[in-house]
Amino acid sequence: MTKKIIWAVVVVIVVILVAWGITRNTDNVSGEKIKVGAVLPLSGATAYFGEEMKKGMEMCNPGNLEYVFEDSVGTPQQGISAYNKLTRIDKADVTVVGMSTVVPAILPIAKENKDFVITTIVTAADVGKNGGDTVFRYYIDGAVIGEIIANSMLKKDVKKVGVLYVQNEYGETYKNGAVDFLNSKSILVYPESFLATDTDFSTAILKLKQQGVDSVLVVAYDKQTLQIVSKIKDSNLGVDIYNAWMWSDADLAKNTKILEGVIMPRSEYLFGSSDKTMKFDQEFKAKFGVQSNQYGSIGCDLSKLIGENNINTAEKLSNLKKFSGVNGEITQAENGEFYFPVKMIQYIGGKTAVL
Amino acid sequence: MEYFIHLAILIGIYIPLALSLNLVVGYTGLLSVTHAAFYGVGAYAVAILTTVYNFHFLSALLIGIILAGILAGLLGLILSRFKDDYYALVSFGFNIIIYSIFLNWESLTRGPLGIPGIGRPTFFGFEFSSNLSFLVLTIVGAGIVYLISLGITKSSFGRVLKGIREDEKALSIFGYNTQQFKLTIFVITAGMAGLAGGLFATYITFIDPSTFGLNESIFILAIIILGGMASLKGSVVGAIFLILLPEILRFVGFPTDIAAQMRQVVYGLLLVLLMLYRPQGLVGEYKL
Repeated sequence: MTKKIIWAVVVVIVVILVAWGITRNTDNVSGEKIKVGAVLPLSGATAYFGEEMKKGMEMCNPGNLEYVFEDSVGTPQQGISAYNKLTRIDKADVTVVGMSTVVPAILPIAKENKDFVITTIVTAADVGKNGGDTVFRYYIDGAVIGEIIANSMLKKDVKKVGVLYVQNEYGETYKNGAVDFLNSKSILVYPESFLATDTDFSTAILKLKQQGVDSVLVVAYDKQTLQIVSKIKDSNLGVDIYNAWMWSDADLAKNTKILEGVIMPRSEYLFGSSDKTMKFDQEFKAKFGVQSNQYGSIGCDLSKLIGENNINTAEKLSNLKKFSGVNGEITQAENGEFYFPVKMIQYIGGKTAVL
Repeated sequence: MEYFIHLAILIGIYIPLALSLNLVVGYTGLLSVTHAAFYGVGAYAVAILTTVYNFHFLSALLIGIILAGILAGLLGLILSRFKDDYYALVSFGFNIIIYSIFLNWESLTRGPLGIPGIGRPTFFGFEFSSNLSFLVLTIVGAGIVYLISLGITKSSFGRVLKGIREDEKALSIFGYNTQQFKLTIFVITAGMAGLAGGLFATYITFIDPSTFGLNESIFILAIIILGGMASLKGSVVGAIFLILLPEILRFVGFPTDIAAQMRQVVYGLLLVLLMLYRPQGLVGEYKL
């Protein structure tokens, strides 16, 4: 009998909680505010990306956005749950969906229901196209940047290129973009992969040394990038070093001693390197007590994109051809994807020089 | 409504997974942490065969189930040489091997990029495109697995499995070939996990290796421990509980700055409390 009572109490509590939560979350948005749902990895192994982006989004809210954040834990199952809640229960006007492990699972749902979605933190090709007319992206297409980096290699008359890349969607798309482009120019490419958790790259570098490469492209996260670049220099390979990006850690990006000579792409935002980005950085540091990074700046741009342009429908966004963000003048490509301008730079004498 | 149907579908996918693992861990007493690998084999088989080779869903699913069973048979031969902690370690190693294959055999699995655009199943011209129709399919799938599991547990075969769990040596003395029983149940349950994988792949329409790692195996194990070892009802209750609990916590008004973390903390805390006060699980009869 006691067991039944306990179960009954548990069920009643659950029902009350859910009912209260549903009614609380479906309240109408006051005034003219745009309800923005955001499915981001806010816990788990990839929480770092989502957390930084969330901070940027909140900080740059012009005041007309009401955010509802939901955690995807970086998995497709949880991502779909969060997405369904935001679109069906919270009835968000626009939903921001981040992370390469979650976005592909959301695209068919968004396409079928014609949900207005902006994707981010996803480098795979054709995200906008695969999601239909109401799905957009604000992020870097890995293949496009891979090609930009490879193109800059051609200027140095490379013959044999080694590619050291992290074995995930980020590394694969950059590598594929670079390799496809270099192969089309009849340049030999030697790819070597490693895991995001690896700390020793000696074997891969030794293999590249034996192949006699004249350039190496490193596609890794910041800490691994510094380790790899440092190891390549110690190994006396005598090669030009290209790097995919410095995304997340300002202190590491400013480590100009190790990065001396390294060539890489960068956006307008690179840890507060212009007046505009310095202002963003100062505000970010004052609000959160930490230095922002590329993800924070992209989150900020998303708020600017939606809030400053009053974007509450897919049609309005498709008519918006460009906007000004922390990452510069951001333009919409024909495939419905928003790209920020990218320049190739080189670390020379402790400073970055545009190539 | 879509949100609740989605959750019901997830429950329907995890029920056969939990039932299959419960037959191995709960009924037979073999601590296996490799079911996510069989789940992945089923998912990848269906994904590759339907998207690349244009197989019909049913034949792809059948191949996925058979493939998972064959792999389980091979692994079972190796596992039969180990017991207790060593058994768990070897099964853990197998999960890592399969995960590495998903990650590295890029020409087949697309590696970390995963396989997008997996189509929804079709039966005799009817496409399970709506979530409601897919829910019916998962209920049927879960129901079939439940009935098979029930048949196993009520049969003399099931009683031998319980006997292996309680005292394998005694059974051997009575002339039972316990290795064969263990191998058989391992193969059958791997096929069940393969079925769940096939349903998962066609529901989510995108799979990548990260879904089938050790975390997933531990999650399935958590479902049966929480629901109740050696209890089919426990598997069902555990799946419902562990799928719904984090979703219910989405509606609790935590401050947005810490909501995601709080959700994880409360989720973990509830599991710890439950294990403290119900170590046999919600409706279980046997403790690990």
